[in-house]
Amino acid sequence: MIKLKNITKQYDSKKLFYNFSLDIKAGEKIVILGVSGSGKSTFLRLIAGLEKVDSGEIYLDNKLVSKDDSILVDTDKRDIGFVFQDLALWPHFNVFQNIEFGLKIKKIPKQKRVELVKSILEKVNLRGFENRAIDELSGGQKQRVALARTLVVKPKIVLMDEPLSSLDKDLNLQILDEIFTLQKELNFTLLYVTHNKSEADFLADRVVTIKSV
Amino acid sequence: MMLFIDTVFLSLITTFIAVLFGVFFGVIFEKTTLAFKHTFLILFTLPLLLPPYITALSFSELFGEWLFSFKGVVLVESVIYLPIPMLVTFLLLKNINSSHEDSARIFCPWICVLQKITLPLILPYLFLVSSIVFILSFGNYSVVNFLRYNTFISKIFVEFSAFYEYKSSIILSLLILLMVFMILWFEKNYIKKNYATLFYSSRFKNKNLIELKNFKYIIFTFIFVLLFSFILLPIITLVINSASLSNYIKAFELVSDSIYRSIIYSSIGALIITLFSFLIALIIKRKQLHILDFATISFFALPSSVIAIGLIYLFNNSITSFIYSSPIIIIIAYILKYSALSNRIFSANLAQLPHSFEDSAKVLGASKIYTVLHITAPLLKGSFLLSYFLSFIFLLRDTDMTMLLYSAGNDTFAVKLFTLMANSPQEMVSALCVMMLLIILTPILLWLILRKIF
Repeated sequence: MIKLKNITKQYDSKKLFYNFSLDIKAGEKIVILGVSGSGKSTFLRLIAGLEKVDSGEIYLDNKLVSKDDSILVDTDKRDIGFVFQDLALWPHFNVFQNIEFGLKIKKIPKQKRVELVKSILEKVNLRGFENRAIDELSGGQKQRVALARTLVVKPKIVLMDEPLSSLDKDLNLQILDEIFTLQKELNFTLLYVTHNKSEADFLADRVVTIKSV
Repeated sequence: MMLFIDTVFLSLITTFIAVLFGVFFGVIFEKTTLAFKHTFLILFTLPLLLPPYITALSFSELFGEWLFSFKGVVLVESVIYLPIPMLVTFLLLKNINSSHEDSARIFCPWICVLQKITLPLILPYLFLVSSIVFILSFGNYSVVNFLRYNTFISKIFVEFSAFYEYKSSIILSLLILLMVFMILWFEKNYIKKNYATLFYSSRFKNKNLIELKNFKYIIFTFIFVLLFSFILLPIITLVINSASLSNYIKAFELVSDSIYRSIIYSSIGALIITLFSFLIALIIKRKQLHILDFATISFFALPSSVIAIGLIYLFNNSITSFIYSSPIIIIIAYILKYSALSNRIFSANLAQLPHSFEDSAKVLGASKIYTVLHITAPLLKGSFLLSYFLSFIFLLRDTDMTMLLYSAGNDTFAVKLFTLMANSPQEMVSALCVMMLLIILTPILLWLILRKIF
């Protein structure tokens, strides 16, 4: 499903990855562990095509998408979902519009879009929140909107960059459980970045630990 | 009334063109991989830094009589004010939290991200910038005077100079104060609310640039043609017209006193503005005295001639005549008119300093003054430099206010050049314009060097 072959990436003089390789199967839940600055987030951004590798190859679904300083398949053509650490919910859109965005881009008819948004809001326990402004939501609710926005387009791969780092412990466990259930139901491949070992133990089929070179 | 409507129309068209091209350039220079984009950015900023009538003069040598019309005024003012939306767009996009764009790039290509996410996010700021360009264009005197086009502002100037009539000034001032109030209200209610989430919070700021691919030659050619036609060619024309070295020597002998005075007034004014603005920004932050922000922005927005008329009324009496008849009145006018720019620089940078920096000094027993001098001010050294040089350049180029305020023997280079333009040979005027350009470029180069050292 995801194959990284001899990836090298460095910023200025700091080498984050050197000849790094990894194979991930479809439907697998991989947790990436590592200390701050070790390159966990960069790892996800390379897979998403938001950044180029210095050398090496990245394959998604057996298709070469990045190779040696070139993006061969643009981010929006990679069939991925991404939950960012700061969630990046667009403040000029309400909850419905945030979630609807990806469906609109895919030119899904309005009626179908409404159905899909309502259905995903139900799944993340946010029924009735469609017209809320983003700044009216609590931390946990924002988290669920970000999750819904990512999952509504049914991506094959979902990348999550420390999505629960700003939540308290109870809420953290609750949403982690929801992610676990949704992954099982929708069967996407999950790459989950965290520095929290208990999150890794709860979620992971496999844990990859990144250390600075 | 017709003149007022005509001036509003002129300013609206100017604002539309300046903002349209300014935003386009800002996006291209910040978000794409276009070659020489930073050189383009600096060169397109030049007309804003020069006294406006120099751009008008250089254009007139190129376009001839056609320029002395409504279209000509729109063209000159659009080129002069285009750098404002361009620089603001450039800075907004440079500091925008890239997660907002990255999360949209998961769904669609860059052009759609710009259209649906980036530009709508910065739209309220662009509305503010448009209002500022409108006010500046509305209040401009030297361009319309040079191009012999009647506007509401030129009417005020003539009425005051000839008949000491100031009713129109008062009406206009009230209208502009109302506009400033609306702008600040809009800023408070629609802009500051989302500021923290929109900017600065991403760790991956500004790393992704748009590959222009097949469009790079078309866009490069388009921008280069505009740059050559409206910036480089007018300057080249001035240089060619200025003829010979002896011409420059003659010109320098004629204006050396004014240049000296310009540098002195601008140095003193910029220093006072910088220190004053730092204090004002501190007071606004700590005491939440937003009336001070309103006051500085209002003075910036008021047409220069209106401020000058107000100061003449204030100081032209037996008690304060020593101020009226000396350069002090010019420096006071500079402080009133231009403090808003520095104040905004300090306010923006103060807002980014975590409270904990000052709090930790306080916990360790430092007094407020000690903390400001040893913690806050050193952390803002970049803002001090930028504020000083920016103020220096704006004071150096000021014509509209200084022209009404200078007393005999106290004129500045910008004013002297403006008066010489009417009755001096063309090659002499061109040489003086080139000298002004070099004088303006010197502090810019100095700032670029000092910025790296500090």
